[in-house]
Amino acid sequence: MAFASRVVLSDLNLDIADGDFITIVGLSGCGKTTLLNLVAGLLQPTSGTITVDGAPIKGPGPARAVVFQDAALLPWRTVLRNVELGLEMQRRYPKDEVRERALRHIEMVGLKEFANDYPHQLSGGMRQRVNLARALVAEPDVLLMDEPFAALDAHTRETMGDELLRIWQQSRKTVLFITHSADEAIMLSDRIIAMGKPLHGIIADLKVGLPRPRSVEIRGMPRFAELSLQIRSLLAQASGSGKGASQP
Amino acid sequence: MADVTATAKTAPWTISRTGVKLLGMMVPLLIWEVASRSGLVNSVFLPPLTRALLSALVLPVESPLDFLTTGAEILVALIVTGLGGVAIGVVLGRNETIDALLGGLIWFLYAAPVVVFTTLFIVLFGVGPTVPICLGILSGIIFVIASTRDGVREVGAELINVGRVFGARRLELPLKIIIPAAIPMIMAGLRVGVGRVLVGVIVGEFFAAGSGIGYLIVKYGNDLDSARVYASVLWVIVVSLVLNFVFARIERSFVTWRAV
Repeated sequence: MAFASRVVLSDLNLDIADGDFITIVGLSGCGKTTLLNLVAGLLQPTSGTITVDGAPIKGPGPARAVVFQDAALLPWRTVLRNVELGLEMQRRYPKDEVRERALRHIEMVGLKEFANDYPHQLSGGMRQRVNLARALVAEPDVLLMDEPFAALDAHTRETMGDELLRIWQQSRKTVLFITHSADEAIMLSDRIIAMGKPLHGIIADLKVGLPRPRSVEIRGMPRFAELSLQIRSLLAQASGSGKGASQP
Repeated sequence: MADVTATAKTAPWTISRTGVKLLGMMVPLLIWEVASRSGLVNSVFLPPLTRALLSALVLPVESPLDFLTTGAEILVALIVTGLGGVAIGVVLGRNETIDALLGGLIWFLYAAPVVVFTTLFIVLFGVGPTVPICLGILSGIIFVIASTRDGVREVGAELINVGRVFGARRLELPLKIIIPAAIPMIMAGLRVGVGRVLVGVIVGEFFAAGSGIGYLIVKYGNDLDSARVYASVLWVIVVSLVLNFVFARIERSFVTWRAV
């Protein structure tokens, strides 16, 4: 995959099974956002193919819904109307059913009382819940999340992670999640793809192997520490600094 | 412990700010009335204020057709300027090639005083409402186009990607996402454009209409009926103020969702 004259991803081969929760961890500039945008269909590869269920992707669509970082809600629409956006342009359901589904998903993310508020009245964490509800209401095959919690404070970030898992348990969608944080990756996913410097591609493909549902005790398990250390040293090596990676 | 109370010295009467403003307006008006009535200034050039005001009150009843004509011309010009300007602005903002191609023409419209097209329009369209309407549109549309284009260009890529991901079709992306996102800038352009449209229409009526308030100004000027000239001018000012006020209200209601 090349931007202008710069190759960003090269020789990348990745297979993701249905129902997996996969995280991509990596350094800045390693191409993880590019990878997500490729899977979303927002970018087209300069060579190679991306297929979902065997069919190549031609462009973006609600089947590969994206949960963006903070600034992705339409500020002139209420929470309800924002979530409805996930369905209204697909013309799959009539208006009243779209509304009903939107309300159901708003309740699912715990924002029932805020359905008629505007994004600027909500906190960052609440806005991300709306982002999530909007992506889920679209009934995607794959849920793509590009560092969705990066703009939140540490505590909210953890809470949102728990929320995400709680909601995910109900539907078990395939999730591709991008993060900077090794610990967040371990906490959330089944499989962690580590990416190194640009063009180095995937440097590790790790099975998490921790029991679900993930509770806070998971952090005390030896396997957690083992993975955490492993990922950090991999990334540190990749960045060539030799010191422990500055990962939260 | 002693209680200390401070009492501000107040004047026996106070004038509020509005009061001062009103007083400020009254003074030149008074001077006007006195200067004219006393013969200090030739009443052909400056009729007494009271006579001008009286004339203004009567004018719509005297010449209803002219008022209707001007009103209709302004309405048509505003609609075309608004819809056309926004549409063109969106296209320019979204399409780099077209923007580059038409950029020169836009600059030309910005720079040229539109009034110079009057003679050309008279030749093309003849005397009648078309010339004021066209002049009005040409005067105002450039501001709507320019600010719409800029507003559209500034719409964040993330919002556009949101539209793309959730299945926005060709017309849905601009209508549901891009234009709403650019509304603040579009509104600013419309506000300026509205004033210019009014000027364009009136100036067009000076030269090329058989009727309208602008035409009345010229006609009564030629007749040396200065009271009616001032009356007509006053009505133009009233229309301008009303348009401005309505616009500011519309603009404010649109921008309430803006994050702090």
